[in-house]
Amino acid sequence: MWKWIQAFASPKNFYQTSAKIIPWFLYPFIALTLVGLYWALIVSPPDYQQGDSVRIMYVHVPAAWMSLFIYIVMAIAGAIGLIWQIKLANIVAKVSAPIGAAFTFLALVTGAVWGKPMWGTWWVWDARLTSELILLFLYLAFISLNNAFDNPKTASKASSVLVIVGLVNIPIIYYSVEWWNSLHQGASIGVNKVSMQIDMFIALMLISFAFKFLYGALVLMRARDEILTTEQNSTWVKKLIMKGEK
Amino acid sequence: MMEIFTLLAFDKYASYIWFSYGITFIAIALLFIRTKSIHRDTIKQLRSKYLRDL
Repeated sequence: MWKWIQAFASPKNFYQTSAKIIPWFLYPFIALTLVGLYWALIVSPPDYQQGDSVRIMYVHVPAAWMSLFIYIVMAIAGAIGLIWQIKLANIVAKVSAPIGAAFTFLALVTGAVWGKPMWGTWWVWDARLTSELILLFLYLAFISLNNAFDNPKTASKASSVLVIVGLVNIPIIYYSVEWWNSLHQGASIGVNKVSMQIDMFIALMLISFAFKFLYGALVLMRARDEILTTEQNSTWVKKLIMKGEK
Repeated sequence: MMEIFTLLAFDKYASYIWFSYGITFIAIALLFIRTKSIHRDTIKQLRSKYLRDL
């Protein structure tokens, strides 16, 4: 297993294999998005209290989940890069950051847009909203730190330490609605509970999985470019570029 | 067909809902466009570097 991971994680192998894997992420993303939108906008019923505004949940909640998921992936990749010095792990962390920042931004904006008709305000300095905003700053700090050093190894080390330290914010975001009084509603989906109508749950899951596939495709596409840059002095990259292959 | 348009009007929440879906669509499209442009730039830069080194 370890040998297989090492072989796959070699930049050349990853570059070649990932080209074949990308469509396996892109097509499910497109299919799940189309079905998910149909379920979210047409099939699922309005909420008995919130009316049709509940449909914002189908983009807000998956975006918020992705913001946490991508950060955890980055922390794991950062730790692997620090401990085992696997270049690919550092690349995964680096290319994930802008995608994670985009999902965090989406979670904050769609949350504000949902908050206006429901709470009567775009924003409150509530524990959940503030900790999610801190997550966005962590993503931006990671991106800035990665670009601040000329030496890519130093940049990876510094940004990995930052992302691991920032991991403390993840349980704060998740449990903030339980730990503090909050305007934000608690979780409707837990390990053993789903307290929502089944069509709402299906729409939420479809779009959540669509976002996961989107993330997979984007990470692979961006990681391939990062590999070309870091391995630009290798013979295989020279051959590949001069042959005009993509 | 008219029934679907009536369904998608979403009463007084239409602007909030369509803004949320619109901004999500734009963000995803920008992520794709940026990813593609990074790829094009990388290939272009490397090719010109290798040609210079020849």
